[in-house]
Amino acid sequence: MRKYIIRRLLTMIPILLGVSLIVFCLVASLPGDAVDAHAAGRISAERLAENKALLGLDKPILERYVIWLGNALRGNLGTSITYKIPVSQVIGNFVWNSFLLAVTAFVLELMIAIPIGVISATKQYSLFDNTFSVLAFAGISLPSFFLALILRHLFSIKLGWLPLDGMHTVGAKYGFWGNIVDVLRHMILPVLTLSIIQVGGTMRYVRTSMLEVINQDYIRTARAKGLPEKVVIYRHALKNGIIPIITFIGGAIPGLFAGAMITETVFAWPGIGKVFLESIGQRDYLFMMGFTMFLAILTMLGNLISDVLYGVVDPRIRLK
Amino acid sequence: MKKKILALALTGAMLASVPVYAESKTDTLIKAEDPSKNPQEALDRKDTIIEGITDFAGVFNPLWSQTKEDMEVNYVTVSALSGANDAGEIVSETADLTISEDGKTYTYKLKDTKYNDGSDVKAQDYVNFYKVVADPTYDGFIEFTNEKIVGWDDYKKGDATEIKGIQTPDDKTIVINIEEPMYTAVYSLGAAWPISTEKYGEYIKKGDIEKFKNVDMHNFVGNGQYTLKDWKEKESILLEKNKYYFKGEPKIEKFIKKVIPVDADGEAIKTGEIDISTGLSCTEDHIEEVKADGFVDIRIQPTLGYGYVAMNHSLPIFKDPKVREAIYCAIDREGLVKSVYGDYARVLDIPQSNVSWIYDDSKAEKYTYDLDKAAKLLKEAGWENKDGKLEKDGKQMKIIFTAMKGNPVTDNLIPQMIDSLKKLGIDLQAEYVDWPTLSKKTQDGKFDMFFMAWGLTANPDCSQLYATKGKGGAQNRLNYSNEKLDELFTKALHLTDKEEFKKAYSEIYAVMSKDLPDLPIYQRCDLIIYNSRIEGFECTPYDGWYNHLYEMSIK
Repeated sequence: MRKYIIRRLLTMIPILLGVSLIVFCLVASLPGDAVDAHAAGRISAERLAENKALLGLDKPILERYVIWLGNALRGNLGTSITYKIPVSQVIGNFVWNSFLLAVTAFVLELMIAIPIGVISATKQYSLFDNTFSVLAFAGISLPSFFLALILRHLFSIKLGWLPLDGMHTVGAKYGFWGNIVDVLRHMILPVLTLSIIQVGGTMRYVRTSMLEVINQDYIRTARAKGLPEKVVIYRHALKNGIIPIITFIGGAIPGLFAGAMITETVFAWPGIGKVFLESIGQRDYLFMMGFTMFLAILTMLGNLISDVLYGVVDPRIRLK
Repeated sequence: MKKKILALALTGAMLASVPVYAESKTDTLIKAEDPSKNPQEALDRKDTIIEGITDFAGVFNPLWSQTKEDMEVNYVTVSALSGANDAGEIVSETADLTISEDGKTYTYKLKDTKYNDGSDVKAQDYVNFYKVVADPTYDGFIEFTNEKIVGWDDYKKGDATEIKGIQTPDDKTIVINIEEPMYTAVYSLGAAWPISTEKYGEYIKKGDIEKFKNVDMHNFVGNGQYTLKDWKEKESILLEKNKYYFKGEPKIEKFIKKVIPVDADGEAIKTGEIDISTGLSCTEDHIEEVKADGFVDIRIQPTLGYGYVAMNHSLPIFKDPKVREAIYCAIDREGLVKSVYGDYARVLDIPQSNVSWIYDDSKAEKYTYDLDKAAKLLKEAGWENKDGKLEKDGKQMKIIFTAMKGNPVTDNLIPQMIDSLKKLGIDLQAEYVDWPTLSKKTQDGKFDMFFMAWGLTANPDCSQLYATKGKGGAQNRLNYSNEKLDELFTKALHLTDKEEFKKAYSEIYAVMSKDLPDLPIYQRCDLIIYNSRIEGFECTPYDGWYNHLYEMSIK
């Protein structure tokens, strides 16, 4: 197992180099750069060229890549042109806000999706199953901005129960606990939006994987032995039924840090998704690079974690 | 101008329930009809006002700020030598200016002003500003292009350690020498604000200003109305009053800027979450929505800026002014303005705001939507319409129009132009790109035609856009060149008398309206909405409400 992990980690290095080269070339060859995005129309052509030279934007792409790589290997991802602070600091400023939303929504989603998925599978084609199938598809097909706007209109404007947007009540002086309650209140609507959109898919996923297990021979054997249905489902079937969920969790790791662009924008949540989206329009290429690499590493680690966990929980799978 | 608005405010208060309009809808104050509807959340804020903004980048060092929102923070954290009045004329701020007869020596006599830490502002502190801008490593966006300060290049490109043309004979006097008179130098030179030598002097060394660039902006020692206390990225910015502000201690303790979702301004002001917003586009729908709240004052004023269509003058088809005029006549500007902005915009003939002191379109040519005239002009220019195709030397006139998507103006303008140019036999195709791409294409001259909106400042000079490249046209992206106009610009800029300058510009506008370097389309309005519990809210296009924060109070 240890050998397997080390081998997987080592193969990540060439992959990351390849990813970084491709992404860098794509990002750097977008038409226009950060100086064009910010300064054009405000300064003379001469000054524009001076500014580009000061930022090194006039050099060939490959040379810029080598400079970037050299700095990145020493832990320096460069300075964001939009925020004028180190890229790692920009990521640090926003990524935890996004993570907070995403992880809460994710936990909520699992807490709802797993029990409903399991029950739906055991009572296939019942009223319960059909009702939740319809709801699941409704949730999957709802555009997030639409749902977000409806929730905001209902709970913030009509009823006035929850804050309209943001993460903190500005100008308010709360203590430690007061602050936590304040953030929680601001989180409710965005978390609800994310959960409602995502829960349907997960529910269907759990249901399918449970159904597959329930139709296996050993379940029939268990029933034939005369075991009570509860034991058959919750002791025998469930254990195997939720194994695929573990892969699902591993795969969800990068998503927890990637930010939810639309939901964050509608609720003015200070998350990384919104920042990343804007960085493209601002051609903040060092930030785009830094954040993409951050997600690439997380994706690969997420995959590794799911594979390893799979091996741990499912003895039928041997990792070599 | 300001008096007119004040009078309006008074009548508005007396008539309470009747909306009051000025001579046109584009310059109006609508007072709240029922201030008692004010939401509790707003009423609970006794010492704080909150402005809703859609974003900010957090680069608050004014020499490096890039975004509009960051710069709006600077307006209140530092005060410059000069400002502008309602008509965009230069007025004293922290210093009184005298200009020598020959127009080459500018003497600023500083008023008694203090920083927010109580220390005195000294003349040398303003020199720090110029030194940073002149520094060889400075990568911000402030520059002096037209006005050549004596010794500037020696500092920027040579070994000089001081800028020879900027002297401080004593703590209260700054003397700036420029190589030749330049009428508009008052605007650019006067934009300087003081950088405390005591506090930051050691960070400003020639060739090494990195430390000042990265200086912690919390509690930045400035001379503005408010002090920057704290900010949470993408959430809010907290400013507290500077009790040493030279025009008088601000009455409102805290000024907060809060990030709200795009287009949620109406909702945010309705619930009392914010007090002020300038972010909504000025349309009948938005105005009605806000009016219905009852407790919000609405100020409508002409935007400092305009939208225009430009063409690439290095392409043979656009070399003939008749072709440019024909295309101008094929644009239904009236229809466009009505459908996008209703009554809240006007068709524009010269590239200047009608509230500016320099504005004079009396000699300018006026154009209306007229396809017959357009067809005639094209024929005169040698283009023949053959079976619905406008041709010259066997080739059809084809134009690619570059624009950004999702802009209500281009969404209306482009289909209209495609349609009317098709009637003339011209094949116009739209190409949609994002902002940096459009910006790059125009910089490199790789375009046929594009639409953009242009922001104006109080500085009336537009020679940088329209003079020939290398002859003052430092920002001329259209490759436009007109010798007569070059001469007129040079002559005008070297004048020292205000009336003569205005006359010269009237001439310039006349020439431009005939030769059409670009096609001015419209000037829209700004919609400024604020909670009526704020008293003393003053605002005009050149003299924005930020400048009057210190006079505002909460009822």
